[in-house]
Amino acid sequence: MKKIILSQIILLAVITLGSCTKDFLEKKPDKALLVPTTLTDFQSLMDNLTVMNTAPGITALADGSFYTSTTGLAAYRTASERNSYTWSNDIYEGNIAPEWSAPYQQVFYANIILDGLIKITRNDENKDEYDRIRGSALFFRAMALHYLAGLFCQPYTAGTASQMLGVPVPLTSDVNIRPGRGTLVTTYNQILADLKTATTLLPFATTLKSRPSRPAALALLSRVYLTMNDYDNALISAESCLTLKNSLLNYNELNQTTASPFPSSLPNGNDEVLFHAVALGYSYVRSALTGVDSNIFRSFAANDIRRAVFFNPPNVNKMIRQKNSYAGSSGSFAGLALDEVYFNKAECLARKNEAANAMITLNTISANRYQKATFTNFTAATSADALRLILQERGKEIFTNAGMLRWMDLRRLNQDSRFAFTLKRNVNGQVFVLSPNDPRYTYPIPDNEISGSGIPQNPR
Amino acid sequence: MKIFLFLVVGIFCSYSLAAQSVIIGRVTDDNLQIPLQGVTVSIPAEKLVTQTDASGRFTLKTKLDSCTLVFSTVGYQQGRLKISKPFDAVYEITMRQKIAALQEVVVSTGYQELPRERSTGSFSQVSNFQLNRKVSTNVLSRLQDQVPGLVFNKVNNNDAGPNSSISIRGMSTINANPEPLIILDNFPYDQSIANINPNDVESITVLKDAAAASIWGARAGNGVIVITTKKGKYNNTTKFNLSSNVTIGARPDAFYQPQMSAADYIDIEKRLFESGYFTEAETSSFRTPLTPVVESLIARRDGLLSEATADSKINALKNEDVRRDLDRYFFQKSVNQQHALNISGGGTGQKYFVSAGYDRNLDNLVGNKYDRATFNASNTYAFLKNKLEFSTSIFFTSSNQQNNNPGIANLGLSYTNLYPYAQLADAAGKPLTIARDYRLSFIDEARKQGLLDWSYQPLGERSAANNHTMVNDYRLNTSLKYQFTPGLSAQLLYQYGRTRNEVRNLYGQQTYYTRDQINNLTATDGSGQLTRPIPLGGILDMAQGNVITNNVRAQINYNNSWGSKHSLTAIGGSEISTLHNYSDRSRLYGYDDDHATSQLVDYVSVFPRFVTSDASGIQIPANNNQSDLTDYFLSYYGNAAYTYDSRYTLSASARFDQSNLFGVKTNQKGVPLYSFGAAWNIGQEAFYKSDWLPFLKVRATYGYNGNIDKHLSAYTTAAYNSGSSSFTRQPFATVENPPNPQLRWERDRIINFGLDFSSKSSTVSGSFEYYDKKGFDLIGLTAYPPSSGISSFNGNFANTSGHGLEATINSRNIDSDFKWLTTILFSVSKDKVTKYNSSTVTAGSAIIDNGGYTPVVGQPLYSIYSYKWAGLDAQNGDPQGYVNGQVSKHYAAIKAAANKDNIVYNGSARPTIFGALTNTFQFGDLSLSAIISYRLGYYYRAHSINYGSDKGLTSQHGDYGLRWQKPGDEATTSVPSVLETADDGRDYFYNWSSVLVRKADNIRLQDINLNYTFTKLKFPWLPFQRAQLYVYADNVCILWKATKNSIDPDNINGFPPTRTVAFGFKAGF
Repeated sequence: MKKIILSQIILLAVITLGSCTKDFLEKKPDKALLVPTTLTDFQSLMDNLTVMNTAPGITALADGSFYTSTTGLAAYRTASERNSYTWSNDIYEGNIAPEWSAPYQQVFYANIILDGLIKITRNDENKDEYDRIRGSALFFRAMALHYLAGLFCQPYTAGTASQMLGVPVPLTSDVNIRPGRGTLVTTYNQILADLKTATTLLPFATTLKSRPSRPAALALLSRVYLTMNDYDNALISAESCLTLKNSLLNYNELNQTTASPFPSSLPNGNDEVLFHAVALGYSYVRSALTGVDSNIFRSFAANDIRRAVFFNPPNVNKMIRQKNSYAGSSGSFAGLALDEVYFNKAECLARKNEAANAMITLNTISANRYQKATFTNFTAATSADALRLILQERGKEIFTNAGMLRWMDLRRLNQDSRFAFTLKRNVNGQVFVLSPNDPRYTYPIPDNEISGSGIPQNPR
Repeated sequence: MKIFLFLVVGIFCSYSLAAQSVIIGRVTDDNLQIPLQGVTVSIPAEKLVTQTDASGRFTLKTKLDSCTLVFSTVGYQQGRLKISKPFDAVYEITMRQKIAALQEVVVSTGYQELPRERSTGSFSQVSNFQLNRKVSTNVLSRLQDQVPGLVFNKVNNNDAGPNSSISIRGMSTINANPEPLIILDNFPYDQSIANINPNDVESITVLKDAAAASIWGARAGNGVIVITTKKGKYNNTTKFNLSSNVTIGARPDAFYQPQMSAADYIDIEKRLFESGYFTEAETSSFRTPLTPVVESLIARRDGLLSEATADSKINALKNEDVRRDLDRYFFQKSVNQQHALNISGGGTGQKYFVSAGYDRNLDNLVGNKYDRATFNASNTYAFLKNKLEFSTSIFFTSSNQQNNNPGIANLGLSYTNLYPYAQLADAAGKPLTIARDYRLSFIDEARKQGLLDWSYQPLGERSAANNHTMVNDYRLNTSLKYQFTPGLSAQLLYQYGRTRNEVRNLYGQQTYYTRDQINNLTATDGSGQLTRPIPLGGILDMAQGNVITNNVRAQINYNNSWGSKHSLTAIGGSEISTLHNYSDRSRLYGYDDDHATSQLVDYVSVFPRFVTSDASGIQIPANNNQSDLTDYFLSYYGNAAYTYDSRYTLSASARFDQSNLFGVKTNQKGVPLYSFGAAWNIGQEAFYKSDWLPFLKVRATYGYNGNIDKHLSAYTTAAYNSGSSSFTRQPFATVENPPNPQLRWERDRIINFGLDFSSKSSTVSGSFEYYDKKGFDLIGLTAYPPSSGISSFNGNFANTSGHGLEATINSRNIDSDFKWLTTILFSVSKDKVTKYNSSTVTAGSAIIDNGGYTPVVGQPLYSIYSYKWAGLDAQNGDPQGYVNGQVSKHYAAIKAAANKDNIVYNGSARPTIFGALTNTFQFGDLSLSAIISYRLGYYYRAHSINYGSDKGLTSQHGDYGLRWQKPGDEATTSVPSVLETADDGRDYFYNWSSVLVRKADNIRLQDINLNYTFTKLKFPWLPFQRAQLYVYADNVCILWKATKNSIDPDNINGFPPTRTVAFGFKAGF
């Protein structure tokens, strides 16, 4: 009898336990955890500034814009900084390379979102947000891939791109898929396809500069076409961008003596900035023994305000160091800004033999860069002169961007003998030379990638 | 039942008084010579039974002229005494303790207590006697050298994997929780073991194989340690136990780690200065701090100091050694006090145990101390003719840890280690300033502008700090047990636990931290007007963690024997446990501790930094954080053991665990685990006739334990961040785990064979065990190519297999007035990876430098690998390796060419053979015992110089002094020459090369215990029954090690544990 009662009690207990099992086991182990499934989750992932809004900037030490002394070079914290400065064959000395992994992390985030969006139905209620998020993810993926292509692939040349190696282009968030390098054409086709779709989905403006907008996508599209030497499309994209947004900072209105002359791009400050990103962290930025190349500095005219707002007076080491950029306090600006788009447009016009229009564009931006009182419009007799002038001015303006812009310009302009440029360094009596189209214009892929996925390395 | 017997005896005795003669005797322990209370004394012929009283006395009245007295009590060998008239006035009977008498031990699994004799599994019990041999604040450390197969992971190096404090039978996981499960009485105890007063612990049972541990299922994968606390006993007079001890520990040896000499350091600084290395720092707008030598060199260069003055200043520093100051001002002798009192007893229907303990530890770092008070009370009532038993107990611990010593690791300049010639105090002991974040000249400038004193005195920090961690932990237990029939009972147990950890770090305005924070954002308007976005006053950081646990268990116990030969024990039940852990962290600025007020600050705006206008501005650090974690477990379990004729035992157990794994379908949240076992008590067989080995038992078990990493998920998971540190102040999310649809529970299959034996009179006894273990689906981290978007991935990657042998042998070498007892523990533990699923090719370099996390098939899970060393280049002292079999100095190529077949496998990073030898000598009341422990068959990677870009200044390793300097040195040194320019690849190769891997084998004299026992018997004037005075020395010395250098192979980082000596006494009333 007692046994029966007991077994009934136990049975009851087990049933009670069993019935609440499901809810009990569904309890989230950590409140901060989420499985990203909603549009808000996706937006939160893309609002992760340290992941999404960074860009490789190692090439600033390789593109000739900065000079450092022998001891300054020795004091750089990372091997890739020291070796980039002298274009060594071995850049990383076995260390990992954030220039490779950070963009791929962005691609991964973008793919998580693009994969997740498939499971959400786009309807009248959510379509604006849905489109914005999809467009943003495509934009981020394209942005990351274009940096990777600019650093780790040979410069794009229309005829041979289909025989050149691209970079792996993962299109899903499955971390076990190894797409291989493919060709440069497949890489660029993906970048273009992503950006073209993004331009149809993104809104005209966003509340935060860290989020992509349609003008930003067009600006990037214009940059990518320029990299591909496709001036027609680069012009169309630049003009489409400028139709949507064309506001320039008038440097005449800036405080030229302060260390931070520019309004910070975040959260929504600098009107010239289309998309906020900062260069990955490098020690050269803080080095007191590193300054802008003196030849480049001398190329700034006396009435060029950029001379005062880009650079500090020489320090005790006679080094001319940069002031805070468009990114203000958050780092060295390496995003997209309208100045670049103006120069893209001017260059394309000049290349299409529309010298007059090209000069109008150049003068529009230059009027905002030179002292109002003394500035007189640039003039050019021929399209070739216009092009030369525009590229000269572009070379100075490019200091607003600490990313890979100058490097990508060198790679494409070196293909044209008129603009080809040989970089030289003298370190401790030893002379280093980087000739136009040298294979060292393509960075080696880091060892952990080569050993991990077995993709072919770049020749140096 | 017993009570009933006594009553009968009593009644029987009283009425048959007339024709009887009286037998009086006294029972004492033959060794300790203390009176034994509660010994059952019987005259079987008359069915007379009595028990001895507190003074060991008994009285029996017999009608017989001659009879045999039988004495029995738990833990002692049965004694017989034949007597006949005329009876002596008082019979003096001595009883002998059964030393480690295996067959009498009752082991606890946390679910049931079962006699060792009838168990099939691998249990190791550490008795109260063994636990009390050692003196410590923490009870678990007393397991050291007492349990075969259990090893304390002292090797604090990167190659040894997750740093679990204890491993039982090797590592059973790669990346999931590596700690064994700790059970306190009935339920898992997830809080710090430091909350438990060792004086409250009766015994500890370690469950090692599947049959023993699988009852704990999915949490048993790393083994289980069951702590049984002391309880009262029915029908026992009130007993008091008092113990008190003081442990004095030596100061840490500040000179233990080899450090570059001040002279070498200064020489490097001079060379670097001449090459302009410090120009960068000197001219930095961030006012990068510089050492006194560099400052003097600058002053000399600039003509501010004459050459002679500068040189004499610098030369004076060459004789300084900061370690002398550290020894004098940062280290002290540790003094740990431990006091405990307990009272226990019981009547027929009630039993109780009450204890209080107090610990007060002064750390060997000046300014750090620890106080702990514990209180424990348990009460059991029996009702309804003892059929219903109701128990309650409460454990309470309150501790306060003060951490005011800043530690010696982080005293230097903001960007590098403290220079070896730093002076922390002047001759009078007054704290001295050293540069930290800024140059001293800048600090002077700032002071002139009205900023707070920006100087940093490490010694001043020590006294200004006010950092406390307080823990309040309590557990309430209630249990109800009903005995339906003598064999069948049901019980319901409930435990509520609550732990509150509170960290309160008050950085007063006098601390450097706060002065630096305030000054950092102070702005001047040029006219001397200062604005301070961070207000004056202190900064108060508070963190609170709360853990609430609930455990409910319903269990049926069945225990019956029928016929004369069958007996069955079975339990079954279900259990729910919940653990809710929520914590928050917050910070107050402008805190005034006298009035408990604080001030609001602007967390949003970006403020320029005082140091330089061209530096980026920053926001005021918010330091706010919350977390909320929940663990749910739902389990069903059962086990049964059937014994036939005390000879054959079969056992089986099963358990099904479910947990709230995140992002996993309900049907994947559980795992069934089971075990089977058999034991054969050969000694009981009729055919077995051995006088010299009367007890012989063999046993075998098979089964599974599990483990899980709850941080993983089948889906992509992300974690939210409030965004308070982001420039957009927008919440954002970070991907935590890429999706892992194949996520499974880790499982360990263990096969165990055991042999227990005991010779006649237990002269030699012990056990041997052999186990074979296979780990399936172990969760590990594997490197991924970055193009996948991640650099490493956590998944069920590896299968492992391991086996081991464990032996315990107790022997009484001499057993007379003088006694010599020996216990030998011997463990062999081997494991290897049998399968490693990874979609990536693992580079040889990743195996070498990935901190032992990269499993290699065929090798132990935690192994040390290195690059093959080809000696130093005789021309210039460059380290050399191999590329394709050719000696090479192309370091990038050496690294790139490394694969799992051409790198050097040095050996296991964990001891593969270990154990202890305990010798006890007793002469009368004096006892001396010592443990010699040994750990063999493993390796460690020694530290050495890393030149970096500053010729080794940052590294400061003492190997600098041994470096190659001229051709011929390569015959005597393997430390590479110093280069003019940095070469990361060269440093990397040397530091991961085989030349730095050393054998870690060592044998040490772990501890010595000397004690003297006083008994009332010998000293009738004593106010207590017995007392013991003891001296205990721990970490005595290393007797032998494989390496010749001064580094303790088990302590290659930091300092080795210091030698301690404890003095104490115990008394029982």
